[in-house]
Amino acid sequence: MSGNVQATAQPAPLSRFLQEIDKAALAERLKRHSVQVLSLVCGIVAWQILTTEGVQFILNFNNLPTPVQVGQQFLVLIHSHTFYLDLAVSLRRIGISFGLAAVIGMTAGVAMGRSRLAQDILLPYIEIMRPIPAVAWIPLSIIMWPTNEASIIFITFLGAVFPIAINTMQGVKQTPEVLIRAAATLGAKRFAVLRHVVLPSALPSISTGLAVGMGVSWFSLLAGEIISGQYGIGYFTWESYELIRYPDVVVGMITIGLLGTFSTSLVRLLARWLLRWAPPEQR
Amino acid sequence: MDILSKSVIPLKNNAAPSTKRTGRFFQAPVEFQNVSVTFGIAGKEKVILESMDAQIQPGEFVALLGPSGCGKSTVLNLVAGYLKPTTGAVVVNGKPVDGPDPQRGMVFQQHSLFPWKTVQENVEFGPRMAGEPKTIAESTARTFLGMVGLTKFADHYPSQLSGGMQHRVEIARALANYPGVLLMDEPFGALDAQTRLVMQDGLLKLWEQFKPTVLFVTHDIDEAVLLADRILIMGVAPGRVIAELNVGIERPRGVDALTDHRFSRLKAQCLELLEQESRKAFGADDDGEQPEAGVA
Repeated sequence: MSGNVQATAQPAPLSRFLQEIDKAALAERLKRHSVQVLSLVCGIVAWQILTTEGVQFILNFNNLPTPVQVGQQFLVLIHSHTFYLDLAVSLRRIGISFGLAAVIGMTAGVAMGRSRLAQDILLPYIEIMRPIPAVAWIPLSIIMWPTNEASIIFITFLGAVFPIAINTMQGVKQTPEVLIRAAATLGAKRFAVLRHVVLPSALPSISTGLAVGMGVSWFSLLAGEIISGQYGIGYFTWESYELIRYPDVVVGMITIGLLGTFSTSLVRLLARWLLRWAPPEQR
Repeated sequence: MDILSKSVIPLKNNAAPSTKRTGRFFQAPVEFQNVSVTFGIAGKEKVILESMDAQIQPGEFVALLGPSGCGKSTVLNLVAGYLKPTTGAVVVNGKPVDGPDPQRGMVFQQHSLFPWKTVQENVEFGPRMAGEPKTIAESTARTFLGMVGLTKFADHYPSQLSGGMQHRVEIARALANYPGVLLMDEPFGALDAQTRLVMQDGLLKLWEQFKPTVLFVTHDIDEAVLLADRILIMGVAPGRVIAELNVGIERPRGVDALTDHRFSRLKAQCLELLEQESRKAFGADDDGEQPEAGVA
């Protein structure tokens, strides 16, 4: 009701109203973010207490590095050249593997979604190979590929390609028939139907596949790097453990977590931009 | 506008249809030659449409009226080329139908705008697929959007429009291809009664400008009588044409034709012809207890 009173009293009631809405939304967001930050801070404080006190109850905290040690080590590492080299090597591997997986997975997914023959040829392989964890591929890929680098990229690729292919296939299959008919009647040929109808229609599903694939590819990359790497953030983490540099282990873990989250959000952000036509709840 | 108004180019029956865009409307004749559609394996097949023979004159507005399950949408799918007849042939403009073609425009029952394209891009789609340069396609789309009164919404996405507006965009999109025959599959079925009246009035006005051949599927008797030159009444089990009715009400017609004395007489005729079929579609037998027939 107060809005009505203002509407008659104020010269620009609409913009004022919008400002008020924004303020309320902003306050709400700030509140949520402060709860999130507070939750993290509580966790770190608890970790500090548990490790400095050396608690040994079910879990052993006496050998764990404290958050302060981890933070100090992190500051040391961001001034070292090799840390960046590890990061760059890992990111490069993710880039190549994920790029290949996106292209091959989407191509296979579209083929399987559009043609029953392609589905009958490809899907049995995917169904058999999909449940095999990345770690189980390590021996074979070391035997098959000429270099360690190639076998790590292969393992990472395998992690990403299956979710991308399966999700693309499902999205393509769900393309409404009426839209394909409409496009055909408007003069679209096979390729144009694919480009203007099938791919955009499958995009929400494809973007889910890409985001899942990105997550799994980090997981697989780490497996590959731990066993057979020379550089890379996974190799760094495992090497630190073997050299009993525990703060480095935690820095490595957190870095992996951050990079994984960051790259997945990047994929989601790109998909959201491509899906700007959809009503917000479908993005 | 003036490119469009000198629009009518009647083609000879035997003229080979060209998929080239003329940028003008023409009127395609449609002929059904012993067309039937059956589904299922031999011995257990279900007859969807039983040997249909019909001639649609160039520029004629024909309504296909019947209860659900009479195969009226099947008839449109045959003309559109989504479905191949089991026997016989559908001949449009002298050539048997073989797959979809921009000459045979379709307005669907469900929403069929591309949700990822703006209203403008949707209407441009046909001209673009025909290889028109971007600027020509844009201006064609603007012309037809203007005709359905949606110029202001050109940059909106379909999800931002009301149901009636989306149907107007669909009509504009179909017309932007200058089809020789326009197929409409219960296009206003999902709209509320008032919106439907406005849409019917608008469709009549648009049709008066270009007079393409129209095949209009509906189960609404009022709609059929109001819009069509001729009504093909269809029956169920098996789907077939059971009667045809000439609507003699002169054109140009508006919604005021609803109060014409001939209107109620034609409506009564349709009701009578449809009653038996509607009962069948409703699942009631002729003997024993008879529930109310579900005629709209």
